[in-house]
Amino acid sequence: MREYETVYILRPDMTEQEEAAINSRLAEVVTREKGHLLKQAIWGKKKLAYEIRHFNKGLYVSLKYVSEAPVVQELERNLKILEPVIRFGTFRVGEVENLQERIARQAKEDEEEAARLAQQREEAAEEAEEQAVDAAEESESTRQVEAAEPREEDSGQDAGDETEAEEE
Amino acid sequence: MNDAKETKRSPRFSRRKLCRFCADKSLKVDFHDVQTLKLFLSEQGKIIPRRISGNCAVHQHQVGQAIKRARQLALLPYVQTNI
Repeated sequence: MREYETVYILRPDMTEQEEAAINSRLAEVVTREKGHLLKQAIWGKKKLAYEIRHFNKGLYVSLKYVSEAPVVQELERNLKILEPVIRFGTFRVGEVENLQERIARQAKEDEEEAARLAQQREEAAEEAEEQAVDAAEESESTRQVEAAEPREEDSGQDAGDETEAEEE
Repeated sequence: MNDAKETKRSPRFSRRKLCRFCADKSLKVDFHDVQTLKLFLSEQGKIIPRRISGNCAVHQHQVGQAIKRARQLALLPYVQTNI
């Protein structure tokens, strides 16, 4: 059994349902062919380093799985058929001798990543809160300034009127 | 032994660079990691040779492989035209 990673790029102008349909279809191919899917990760829309089929952006999705070689062939056959896939590549990661151990390791990695993401989100939320507080304070101060300004303008206009009147 | 070799070979030139992947074992070469791979590309997007990058043979090979994989997936350019 070997571990492989297949990364494919979908065209960027699809609806979420279409994307989900393709992703689930490809994930199903792996399990149907008796490969073991470790992870399907959606990297999100990224800028391409060069134009592919006149697209400058693409949705990157990666499939990590442990299987025998025929699964790769079947998966790549499917990727060739699917029209929205603008690029794909399969890379051999290494030999897997103990599948259960590999699955456990993947689960652990996923957990760690989830924890890291949660922490990032928390930090971002905190930052956003701080910014919101800052912005609120700022807007208050600007409001005060605004409140102060119109009076000045009024007085300026009055003064202008007076000068005009004098000229007349 | 290495030190002796270096001093004998090149008193004129600066110290030979260490392979950064050997120096820091926690670093792994990975084709996902575009930011690290960019360190080993010239402005035009060419792979920097190991006599300049300082990588050891093993890691230079890994870096080259990773860059080529990343190029196939349009993560890195084959040629950088807009300099």
